[in-house]
Amino acid sequence: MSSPKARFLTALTYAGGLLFLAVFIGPILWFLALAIRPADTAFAMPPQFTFEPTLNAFRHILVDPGVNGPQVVNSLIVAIGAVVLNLPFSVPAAYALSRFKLRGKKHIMLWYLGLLMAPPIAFLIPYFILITRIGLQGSYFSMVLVLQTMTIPFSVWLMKSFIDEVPAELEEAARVDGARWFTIMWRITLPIVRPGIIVTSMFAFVFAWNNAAFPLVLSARSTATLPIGTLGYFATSGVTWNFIAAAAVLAMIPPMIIFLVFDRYVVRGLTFGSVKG
Amino acid sequence: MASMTFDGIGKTFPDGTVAVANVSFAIADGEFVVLVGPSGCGKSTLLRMAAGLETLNTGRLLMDDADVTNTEPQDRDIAMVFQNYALYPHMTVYENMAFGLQQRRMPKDRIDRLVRDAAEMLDLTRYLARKPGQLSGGQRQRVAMGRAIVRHPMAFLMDEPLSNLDAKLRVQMRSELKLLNQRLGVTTLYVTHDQVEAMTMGDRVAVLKPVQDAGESNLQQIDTPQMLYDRPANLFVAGFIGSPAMNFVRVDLVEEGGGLTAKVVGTDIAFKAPQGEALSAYAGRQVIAGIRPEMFSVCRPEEAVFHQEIPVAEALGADTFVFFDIPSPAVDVNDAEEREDFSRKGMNRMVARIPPAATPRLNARLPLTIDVAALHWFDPADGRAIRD
Ligand SMILES: Nc1ncnc2c1ncn2[C@@H]1O[C@H](COP(=O)(O)OP(=O)(O)O)[C@@H](O)[C@H]1O
Ligand SMILES: [Mg+2]
Repeated sequence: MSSPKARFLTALTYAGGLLFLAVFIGPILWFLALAIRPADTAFAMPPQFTFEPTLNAFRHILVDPGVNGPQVVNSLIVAIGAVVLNLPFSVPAAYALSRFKLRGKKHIMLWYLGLLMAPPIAFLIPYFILITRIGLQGSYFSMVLVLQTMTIPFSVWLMKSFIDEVPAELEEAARVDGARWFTIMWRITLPIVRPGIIVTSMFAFVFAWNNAAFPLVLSARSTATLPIGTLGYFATSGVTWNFIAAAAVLAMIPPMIIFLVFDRYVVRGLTFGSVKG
Repeated sequence: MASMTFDGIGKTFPDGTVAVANVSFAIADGEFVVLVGPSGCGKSTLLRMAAGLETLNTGRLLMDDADVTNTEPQDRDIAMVFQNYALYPHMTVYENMAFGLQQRRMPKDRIDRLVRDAAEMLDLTRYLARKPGQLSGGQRQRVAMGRAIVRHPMAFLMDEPLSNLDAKLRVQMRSELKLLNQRLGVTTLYVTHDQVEAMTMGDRVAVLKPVQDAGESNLQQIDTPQMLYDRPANLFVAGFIGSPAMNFVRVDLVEEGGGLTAKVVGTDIAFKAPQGEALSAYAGRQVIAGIRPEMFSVCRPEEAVFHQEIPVAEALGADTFVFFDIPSPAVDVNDAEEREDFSRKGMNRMVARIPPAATPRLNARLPLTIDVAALHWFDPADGRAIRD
């Protein structure tokens, strides 16, 4: 075994880690508990740590009356739609901004950043008016479209940093090898930045999935997304915390799955030793 | 296979940097030509222009008499080995080598045969299924070579392909590459900053120098390695080729007793200059004498031309290099013209090759004579060699 000092440091590290976990995981566990405890024990004083778990809240939101079930589907449609619409625009834009000498390139990038930083609320009214005027109000597409104002700038920034990492020599080597630009894009650059595309899609999905502001004004009752449904429980007679918690737990699941499945792409390097050893 | 002709090639980048100017030379079919010169002398730019990756501002580029100046790299049928290899990281070694052939819409079985032949030749067969990230530096270098030779292109272009290898592997790959070229007989343009690599590999070597404006030329001389060494065209080439480098001393040529005497500026060192029409024309003027380290020999004190203290001696085993200073202005090979104030006592460090047995004690004086007939002479005005 190691020296007492090293052991003390190890213990300290674990203690710090546990504290960290408590701060970040604690609220999630508390919400999870809230979702499965009997409604009347939610705010009991003193707090009850033991209770009879029940799936009543989940039954209520998904089955009977099950208001939130279709909203999960709506959320999926909007989030997947946002990813699908996002990629064909952000990837080529990022490529162009990374590779070509464009006039005002810096300004475009800053403008994108500005869009990201501006509070979406500030744009809600103009978007609402625009979408209503063109008769898209209440449609999935209206939400997918307006979400692009946030997802495209973010994706372009992210994708550009990935494409920047691909050495220009690789594309030059492919040109000398006889490949045209489409082949180079399709067989060299895009496959190499595949982790970047996956990460970008992940973020676009989670971004769209979590967004509540746009669906709030753009969705109809039949196209409302899960965050709208969750917000709804604040308004009805008395705040029903266990329904809110159940919906929130439901909302957490897809992003969690996505990060668990794809987390290696987030950290994975890009060029795996093509240029230097 | 093809010949290549560079005809008045020039490249000025948009930011105003003149990288290449007025370069003209031809490479014969199957010839191995090395471009050598210090960093920034335009080697890579020249090679990239040959590949079509960089446009030309002036001049023409011919391959087998066909003008390819404005031909896209895709259509030039050349292969390039990049300094960093630029292997496709997401493809296996096999796919890396097959990629160029696939672009030529070759049938699969033919591609397979070509890739396997090339892999065999380069001893890569075992690694065909690996990705570049799983290979050592030397193996990656081979893959880069394989990607080039598998296509049987009209010409190879190589930009410092060995510079990322360690010294031992570099020497080994040097001879392998040369053998490969002889076996395949493909026209090759090879870039390096290492003069030993240039001398050992090139059928001919082109010495380049950085240029400041579009009126100059990068190309100082293109010749066989031996000719570059024996008959350098100017100070730059003389100073660049050879290791340790040639010594340069400023001398005043004085007519004395029917012959010419060279008096080393700033010292009382003097020696007889050889007979020769070209040099005679410089009588009464200052010129630069070039003395290779091996042109010195140890002699008796009364025969000594140079008789200086030796502060540094480097023993390499077979030879010893001794260094000494003479109180004479040093010569800048890039700018031969004398600008130094004579009253300022500049020192000029010289190096001589001597047999190890003759090595003097540290800081003792060593009598050295020189092989006067072998000396090189240069015009200080433009650095050009003075020869009959
Ligand atoms: N894309 C570029 N834009 C501006 N200047 C460049 C560019 N590429 C190279 N240069 C300049 O051109 C000169 C020659 O460069 P290069 O051909 O790379 O030299 P070498 O390969 O001999 O070291 C250098 O001064 C370099 O800084
Ligand atoms: Mg270079």
